[in-house]
Amino acid sequence: MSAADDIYDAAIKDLAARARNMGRIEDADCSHDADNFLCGDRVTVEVALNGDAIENIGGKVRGCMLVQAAAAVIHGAAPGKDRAVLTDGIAQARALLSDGTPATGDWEGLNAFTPVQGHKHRHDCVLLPFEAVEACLADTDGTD
Amino acid sequence: MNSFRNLFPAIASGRARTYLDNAAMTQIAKPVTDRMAEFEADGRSNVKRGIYPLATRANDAFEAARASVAAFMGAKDKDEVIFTSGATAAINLVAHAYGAGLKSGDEIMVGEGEHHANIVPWQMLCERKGLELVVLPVDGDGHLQIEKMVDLISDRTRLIAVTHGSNVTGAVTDVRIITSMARKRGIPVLIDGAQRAGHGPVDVASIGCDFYVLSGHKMFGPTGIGALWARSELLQDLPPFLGGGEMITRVSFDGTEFAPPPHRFEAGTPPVTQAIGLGAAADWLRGLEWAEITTAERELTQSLLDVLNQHKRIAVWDPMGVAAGKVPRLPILSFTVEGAHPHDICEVMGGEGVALRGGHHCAQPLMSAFGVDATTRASLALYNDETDIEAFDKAITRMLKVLS
Repeated sequence: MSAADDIYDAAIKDLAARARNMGRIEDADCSHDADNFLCGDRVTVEVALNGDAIENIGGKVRGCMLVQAAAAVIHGAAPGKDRAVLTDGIAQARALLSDGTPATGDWEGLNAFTPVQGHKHRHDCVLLPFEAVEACLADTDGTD
Repeated sequence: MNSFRNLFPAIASGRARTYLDNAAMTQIAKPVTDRMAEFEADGRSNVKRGIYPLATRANDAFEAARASVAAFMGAKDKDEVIFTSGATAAINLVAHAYGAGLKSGDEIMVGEGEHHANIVPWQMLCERKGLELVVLPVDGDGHLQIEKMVDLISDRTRLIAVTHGSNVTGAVTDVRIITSMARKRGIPVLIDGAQRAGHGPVDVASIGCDFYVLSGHKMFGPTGIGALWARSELLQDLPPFLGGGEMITRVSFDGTEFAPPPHRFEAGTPPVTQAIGLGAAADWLRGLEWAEITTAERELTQSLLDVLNQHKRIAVWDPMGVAAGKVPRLPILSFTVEGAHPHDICEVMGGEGVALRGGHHCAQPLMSAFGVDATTRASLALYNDETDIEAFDKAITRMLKVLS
């Protein structure tokens, strides 16, 4: 096994494959494109809200396996929860990558990214979908 | 083993291992670092001003470097060469200085396959001056459709800016046809030679262009240095881009008189050591047997293609007809792998010691033309040899397994 292989384990591959299940949401309350300007990857996130609850989350992912896997984690964890859960997810993702703090609760799926902690140049890949969601929800602040 | 490898410490020591990212940056040659170290240790002084012996020697070394770069580019006069921080800065210099004389409604023509460095400065100029950007399209294999120039050139076309060789596909532009057509209409042509310069001297006279730009870091030289060559008749009439010291003949509060070229375009203390390094790289490259090197690069490119073509999941964005050995091409190729993203490919290949580049390669319009978001790129230089191809072959096989 080379230094890079630990990233591409079965858990990450399985998550990345699930990103294909994310559909588009035509009547989304917010939408945001997040770009990784270094590589050109783009995540389009669409969120449908019901009050403060996340009714559905979807969009389009054009990115590497880590971007896809992170988007799948969000898609799996957020629907049906209060929007505050996404803020918690973003914080847990950043903590996991920066110091290896294990993710808990709704975001245990993030622990699949534990091997990525040692690959700092790929942290932005994992965070891209979260940043898209963060910006998307910021667009709705005070409007619902 | 390739005899050039010993002249590149990072290659010889194995630290760079299988280095196939030469289109982004070549390794620096020992004759270059030797000359730069010598200047820093024994000859360091500012240039263009001092009259003490050390300063005189420094200025001589700086101007000798200019002459070396001029000779590398086939320029008739060293003062047609302006040191810049790289090809990007050189293009921006032309966009500002030449662009200053353009008027609303004028047109700039660029190729669809250009690096962003040869697109964005022109877009910004168009925004500033109300110009139109006209795009010369590429065909499905990445070649400029030069035949469409006839229809796209108008009586408002003021400049044509195209690459000498694609940083994505390695396709070489038939620049002489472009300059020939442009000259008949009195339109200046800028050639982006950033990729071409690492594969041997060029001859701006026979190309027939008006501006030619290159970067030191892609021709075995230092970073932070490049050059613009411009036809002297054009340079004489261009206004400066940046203002400051060393580019004037006289300054008063009533106004400033600007120095003649090239100094008019070199405001402030130049990157002296880097310029001397670029001159050393140019000298070294001029002394090599390019017929042999080109043949070797072509054979290795074919070997890379052979490796990639073994695998059904891999598609090479190789310009048809530009496959190794058929027509001139640079040893650069891009490929995509079914079900695998270029960054994941580069991560796994990098773990195997093979340095590749994945992404849009600062050529997003070309990616759009190809209908892809990104590719993986392998690019060769004169120090690569069959051992690199063998390592690439093994890493490709492993990558396909890991990213299955």
